[in-house]
Amino acid sequence: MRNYVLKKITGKTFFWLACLLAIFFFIFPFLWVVMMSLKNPEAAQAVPPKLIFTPTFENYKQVFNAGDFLNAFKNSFIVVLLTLAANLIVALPAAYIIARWRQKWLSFAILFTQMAPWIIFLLPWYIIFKRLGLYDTYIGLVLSNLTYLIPFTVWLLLGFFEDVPKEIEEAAWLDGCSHTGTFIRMVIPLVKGGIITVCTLGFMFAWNIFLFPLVLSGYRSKTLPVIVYNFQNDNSLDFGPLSAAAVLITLPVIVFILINQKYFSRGIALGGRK
Amino acid sequence: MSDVHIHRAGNKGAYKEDSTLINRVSEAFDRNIRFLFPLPALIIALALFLYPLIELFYLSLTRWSLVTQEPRTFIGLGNFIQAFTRDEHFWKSVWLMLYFALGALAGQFILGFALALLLNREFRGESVVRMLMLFPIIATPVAMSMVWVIMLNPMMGVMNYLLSVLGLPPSEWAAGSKAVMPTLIMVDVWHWTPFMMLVLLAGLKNLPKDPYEAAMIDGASRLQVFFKITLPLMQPYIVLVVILRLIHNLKVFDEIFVISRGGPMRASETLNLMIYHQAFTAMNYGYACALGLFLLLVILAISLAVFRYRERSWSY
Repeated sequence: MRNYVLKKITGKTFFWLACLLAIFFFIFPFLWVVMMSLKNPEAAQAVPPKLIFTPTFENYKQVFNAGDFLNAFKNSFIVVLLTLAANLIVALPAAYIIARWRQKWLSFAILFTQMAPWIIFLLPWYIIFKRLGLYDTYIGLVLSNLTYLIPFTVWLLLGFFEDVPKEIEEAAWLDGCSHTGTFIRMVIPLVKGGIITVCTLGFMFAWNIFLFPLVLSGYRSKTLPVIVYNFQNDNSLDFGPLSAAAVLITLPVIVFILINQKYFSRGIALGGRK
Repeated sequence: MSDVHIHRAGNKGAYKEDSTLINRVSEAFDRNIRFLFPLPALIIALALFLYPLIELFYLSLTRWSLVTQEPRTFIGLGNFIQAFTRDEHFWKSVWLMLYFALGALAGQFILGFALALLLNREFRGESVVRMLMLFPIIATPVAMSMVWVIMLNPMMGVMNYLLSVLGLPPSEWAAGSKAVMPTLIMVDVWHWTPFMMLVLLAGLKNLPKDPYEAAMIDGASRLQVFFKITLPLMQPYIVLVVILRLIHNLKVFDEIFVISRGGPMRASETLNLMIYHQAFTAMNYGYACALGLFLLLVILAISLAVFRYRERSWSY
């Protein structure tokens, strides 16, 4: 009996040790960047690293004073919101029809768009966008974001639309409701969970995307990831301000996902199953 | 009776008068939603996928630089001949892309599976632990790559300090031409193992309980249970997540671009990076397009293979 208890306790200790080690591995860069962002230049470059120091907010001030940072914040928010809205307007009706009349070649097309490295499409886009005056505009960035978000949205919503019983729609049609009206008033509320899931993950994708705005935005529409990257190019050894910039750009998306945690986990699980 | 009839007829007349152009258009729209609803998505697909591919194909046959105003010269297959026979870095970049993708995949799979097995139980704080482990997926890749740049700095970074604490010699990390690829793979393993863990954990939680009870009655050892029961039952999940990760690993750009920029001495310039550099740094736009077309065909072949495999195994 005592032996059994002992075994159970050591098993539990081992489990929690392993857990803590794993958490440490994944969380360490986050702890480190927050710490670095609060150090003065001297402490930030100290070898061996100082764990005890007087925190300062100078780095954050410096980032905000860098001028284009706030502008990039605004750009990022506008592009993300426009992307999410446009995505729903385009992808919802398409997903609905595809769910009702499913076609196989379409799954291949979607799979392919998810597989193709983005750099391939960027090469012609860059030329075409310049020709059409879409280079360095919000519309251009939103269009580029739609190319990965629409296939993802259609893929994820197919399952949700298929779960909507056909009888509900047929009843609405019999009552004289138009097809479009039925779709907007009856079907869309029933897939609300799917829509929130798509928007949660879409926010993350669009907020984090780097390569598209790197190539397709100029002075006017630069988003946060591009600004932060340029910032690193110019001050590669200013660890403090760099860390502050990294914290500021990551914080919104982490907070947003934590708020919508339930939908995020479901979206990842669904995306994985399909 | 006739009164009612007249009334209805009058109403109908009013309706007829009301059925203006707008009314008729909206009715026609409603009858054809089957074609009209997917139309915007179709237009976007044609404009942003199909047409650009045509443009890509044309550009790949030309010599053209972005900066100079000189016209594009049509050189046929010249770019491809250049890549396949003369450019020493081309095949190396293909190899680096595969090396990175497979190396990261192996690390993600082993670590992710181990973690999934570890967390496949009920315990207090389960959701907190899982959420903390998801942080790397959520965070902005560019920002986190920058954090790694800071931590990996050979002189002042914390990683070499950690090595010295463990009594190990310091590494050059991303600054060394030998160390750079393993370093990038390590960062990608850090970034994406949680995803692997999450999908495999969902699979483990869905496994039937009966085989395990039977094995316990038969007195099978833990290793036997793992190899004879868990692994075969998990196969569909494993295949799926391995394919997903492999595809994704082939696309990785941000981390490599921020941490090593393909260097030092092109030691980590994967095909993705090479295309970017040829287009926007070396200003060989036509050449970059040819490389892009090559990559596209490779990816297309892989997708077709994956698609046929999926059709066979899950009859999608």
